[in-house]
Amino acid sequence: MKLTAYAKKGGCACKLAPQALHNTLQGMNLWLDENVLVDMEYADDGGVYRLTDELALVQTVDFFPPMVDDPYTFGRIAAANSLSDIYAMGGVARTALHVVAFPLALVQQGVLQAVQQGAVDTLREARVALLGGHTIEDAVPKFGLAVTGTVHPQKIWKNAGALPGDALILTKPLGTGALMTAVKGGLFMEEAQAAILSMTRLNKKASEIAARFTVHACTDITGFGLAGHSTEMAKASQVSLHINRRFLPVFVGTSEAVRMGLVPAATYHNRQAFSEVDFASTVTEEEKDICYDPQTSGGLLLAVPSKEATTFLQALQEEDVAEARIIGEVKEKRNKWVYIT
Amino acid sequence: MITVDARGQACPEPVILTKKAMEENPQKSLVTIVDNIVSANNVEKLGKSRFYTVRKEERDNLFYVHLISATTEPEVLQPVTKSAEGAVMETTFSRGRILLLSKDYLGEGSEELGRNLMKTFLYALGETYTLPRQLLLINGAVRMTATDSPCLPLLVGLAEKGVAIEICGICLDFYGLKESLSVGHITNMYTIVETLTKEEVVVL
Repeated sequence: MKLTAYAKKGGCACKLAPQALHNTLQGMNLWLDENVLVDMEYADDGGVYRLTDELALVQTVDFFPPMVDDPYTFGRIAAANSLSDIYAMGGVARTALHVVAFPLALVQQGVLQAVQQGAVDTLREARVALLGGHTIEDAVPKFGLAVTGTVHPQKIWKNAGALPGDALILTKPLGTGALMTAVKGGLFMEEAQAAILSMTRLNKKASEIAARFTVHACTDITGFGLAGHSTEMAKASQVSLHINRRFLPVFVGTSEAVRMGLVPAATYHNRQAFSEVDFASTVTEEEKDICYDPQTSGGLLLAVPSKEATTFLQALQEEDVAEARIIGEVKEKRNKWVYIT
Repeated sequence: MITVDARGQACPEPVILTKKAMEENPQKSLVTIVDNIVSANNVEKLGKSRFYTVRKEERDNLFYVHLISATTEPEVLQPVTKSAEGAVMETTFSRGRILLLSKDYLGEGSEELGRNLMKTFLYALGETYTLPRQLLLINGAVRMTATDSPCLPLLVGLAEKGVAIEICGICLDFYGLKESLSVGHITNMYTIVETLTKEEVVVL
């Protein structure tokens, strides 16, 4: 049986619908001490805890059912996706623990080992030590990592901090949700290859290049789609994000796939959860579906001072982050959080 | 009435099954039955993209998506080739070409004639059964995206039919057309080069 057939929804398309999640955490009396530098309040990618004046710990976890059929590729994507949150906080990833649920039969067939190999190869590329993990038996296979990284307390990148006048840069194309849905149905197999390759890529290089410039705010684009994660950045920063859809990098085949109804359930959840997005009247349904398309292991979205934007973009494109684009700008807070023209 | 029973099917099966039923029964109306709103919405999108009139009905916790056939021509069955192992593969031909346009006129001789030829060409392109997958526009070709270009409505029409229009950003900057761009997406030389090395591209 195909690996993706075990999962009703694959990859970040299966993140618990945002509204459901919000309700379970509300009103709880959490213990927080003064060393907590970043917590859940602004939906940041990782938690940050100060150890000394120069060192803080970054923690994050991600795991999900397979979104591709090849176990090795699944492992690579899951690892890249889990590591991404550390890079999105401006941190250096150091150690990881795997989080695994797997059917016994698949373990016995060597499928889990192939997934682990994919993760191990990605972790080696990222120079991150796998220290262990936890595995349980389950009908639906799931794999991911809890990752620990380090960052200087003064140099943390958050959702907050974007300033009016900043340029918005996106480092990977959109469309993994629709294309993986298409692949499940045996369509757009060729076009999906570019998306799969992109999902296995680390955001490490992009993060390292960004560190040479001024970063006001940063997040990675994953399950809530561009519209969702932009909303989070706008809310935390108390600004509005303005995105020009013509500037968006999108995998070839995505618009066609979305037009045909190869749209993951999460796109609909995202549309409902992140509705304070203003679309120009000319934006088509397909284009909206792309803006809400849940990404797995997506790119970084950065708000940088406009005068550094072109040089930063050039550096990205020259150093192997070829699909990075300037997609819009930050303006002062308005009625809606995100304006897409 | 041709019925596609997609109850209990995980996404995107309802869309796949409906697509197959459409191809096997061209110009006929059908109804797809699903058990969740997401699948119903997706089958609706499929229907609309194939020019069916769509009506969704909810009854007893099920969704009936009525796809009423339009009078447009049926899709031409895509040519297929068999590989050495006997598997059936789609050729790149059947999924549409990638065209690289570097001028806003076609051919050499008279530029005036060339501009008219380009208009006719883009129009005819929109009428073919197998639309191109992508149009890549560089240098002079990007001028066709200017708000006063007679080719702009034709490009918009192609984009609405699902043709990806990728336009060189540096060229748009050069001609001062970036801010007013109203069709397609901005791309760069790296992506264009990658496409040229990986795919079969028709250069006009």
